[in-house]
Amino acid sequence: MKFSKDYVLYCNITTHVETDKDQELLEAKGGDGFPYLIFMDSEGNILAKHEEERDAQGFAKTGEKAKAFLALKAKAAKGDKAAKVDLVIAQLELGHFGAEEAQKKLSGLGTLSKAQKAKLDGLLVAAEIREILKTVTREKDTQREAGKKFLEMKKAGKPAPEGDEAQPYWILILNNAEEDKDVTVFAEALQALKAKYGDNPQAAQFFQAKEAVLKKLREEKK
Amino acid sequence: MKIRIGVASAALALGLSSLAAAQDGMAERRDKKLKSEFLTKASWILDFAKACEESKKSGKPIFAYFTRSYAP
Repeated sequence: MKFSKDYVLYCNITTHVETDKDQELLEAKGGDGFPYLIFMDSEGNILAKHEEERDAQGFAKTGEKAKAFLALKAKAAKGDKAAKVDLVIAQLELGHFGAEEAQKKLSGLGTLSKAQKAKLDGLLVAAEIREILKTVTREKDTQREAGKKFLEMKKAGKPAPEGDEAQPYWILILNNAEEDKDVTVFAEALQALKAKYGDNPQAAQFFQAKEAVLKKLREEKK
Repeated sequence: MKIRIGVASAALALGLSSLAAAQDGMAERRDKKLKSEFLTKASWILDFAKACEESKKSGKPIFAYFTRSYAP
């Protein structure tokens, strides 16, 4: 198959056998479930994450994204300013580094285009949220603290996340609002969650319960 | 004291043998996974360092498939 001729095929098996190698690699490369499919360069840097259909066409499509990343990297290395900015944005999106390092790399690269700025703002927020989520444990205090920071980010005008970070972001804001009896914030967070997950039948019970909470909060406010 | 040490040693030995049995089970599942059709039908590298080496040598990116054997 052509695909296997264009790429080095590497299979990592999490075995839970203590003596087996590379058992921490899944987590190190940002995976949190199976199967997890990514393209990497020879140094282990992620070039693309597979989010398409798991068929030959899908893999080829993601493979092209990986090749496009390498081409962008080469263009940036030649001094192309726009490519340098696009590369930092692409690296941030792939999780090569966090928000702080991305901003350091971007300073001195000149003015970003409108499209670059919009994409960057979204990614910086997502990266910041991921950093905050690393501090969250089963301890309620850590969850409350994270929710508080997310609300501060929102009030500071930072856009709400659209990707995987959206769920924990809004849930933690929602939980704090319920505790603080903040009807306005609770309603907004609930609405945001419904917009994203309202069609999921598995979430029906959750939304039913939270609608009841909202009703109670509104009655108590009167 | 001697009795307590005896009980503690027995508990430790039992614990260790349970762990060993669990590890044997995991190794068996791994070996079964290694015989999967997808692994035998193409040239998959199973060692990350070797995959990186091959990628550097050939200039080809790595396509990495993360899976598990300890559970279905």
